Amino acid sequence: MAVQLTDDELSAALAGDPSGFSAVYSTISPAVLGYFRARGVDDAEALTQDVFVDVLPKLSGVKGGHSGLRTFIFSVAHARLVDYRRRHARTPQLTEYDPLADERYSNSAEDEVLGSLGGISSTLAMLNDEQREVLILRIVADLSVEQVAGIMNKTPGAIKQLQRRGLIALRELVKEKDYTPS
Amino acid sequence: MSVSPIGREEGDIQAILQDSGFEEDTDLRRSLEDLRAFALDGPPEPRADLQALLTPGVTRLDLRRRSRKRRMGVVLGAAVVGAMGLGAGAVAASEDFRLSVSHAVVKIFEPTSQTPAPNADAAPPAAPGVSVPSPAAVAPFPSATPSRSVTASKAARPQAPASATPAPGNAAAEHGGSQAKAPAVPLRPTTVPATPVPAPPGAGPRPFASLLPLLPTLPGTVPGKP
Repeated sequence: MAVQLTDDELSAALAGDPSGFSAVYSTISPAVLGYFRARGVDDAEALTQDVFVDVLPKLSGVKGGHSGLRTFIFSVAHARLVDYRRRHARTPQLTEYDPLADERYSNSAEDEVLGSLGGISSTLAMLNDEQREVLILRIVADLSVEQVAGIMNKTPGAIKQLQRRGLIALRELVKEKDYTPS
Repeated sequence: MSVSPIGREEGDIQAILQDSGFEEDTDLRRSLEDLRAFALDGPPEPRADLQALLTPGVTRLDLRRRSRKRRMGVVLGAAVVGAMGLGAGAVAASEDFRLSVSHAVVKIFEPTSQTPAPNADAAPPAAPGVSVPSPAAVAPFPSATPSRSVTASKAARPQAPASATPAPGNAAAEHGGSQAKAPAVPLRPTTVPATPVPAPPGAGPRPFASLLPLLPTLPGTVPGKP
């Protein structure tokens, strides 16, 4: 359950007080963790802690109150995710052979049915990358259109367009999923 | 001022759906609520460095890390310089090393001290040696170097009368032939032309090599020049 950051905790955190740091961490880290999990990061907890190790000593320069703090933390999280994606694309994957993960053969009908009943992650994976990012930042990170526009370096109009297209695609995917098993 | 989280979440999802005109779509609303559930877990357990930041009294971690890295660089540099100094000192102090260096120096200067001697001495003494009408005493020595004696005789023929006068001392030494009578300095021109070609592999110049720094090359060249 998310807990809101009080004004005293916020002012303590922005003044560099460690008691404010722990309040910021306990309040915002679940959203950061959910953001990384929704984006499919392998070790989301480690990346979340990297973000807070990077962010907490720099809180004294943050302006804009609650929304400014949240925007700053998710800007760092977004940059960390971009770095993670680049590193992940360059690093070869060294994993043991798993026959169930081998995609060179078709799944059975039962697997198809069970997969179609999967959660929101499999549905999100079918969206455009920018649409997925906008929806996750809007809903999981709980940011406004302007905040998302600042993080993704786009205009608010572009973010609204991406959000609308993402919701349309998501609705189509959800309808497909509802009709396919029956 | 804080708003209740659940009411805010529902309001946010409702606002997002209204922005795009899907406020009546319950399936889409349920999907967005599932998406929102990603953020409803508790905070992850902080690891050691993050826990250190959350405890009072610690403000930065990277400064200490940076200074430690710099100190490690200084220590490593000092260790490398010290080890190199110790190694160089030990090598210079060992007697074998000094002996090998002196041998190397001798080997370097050995050919340079021998090569000018035949060049400087060969022309003047060869002329009197050949100008003398080939006695039996000369025959055994040039037998080792026949080609040189032939070329020297060709070059010496027109100069035969002139070369007889300027080097009487050498001619006398050549005529004497006895090595006990001749001093060390005039002895060298007579022995050197016979031995220089097979000399480097042989053991001939080895005893002289140890004396080379003591015997400068000047006495060998000075009588040959005029």
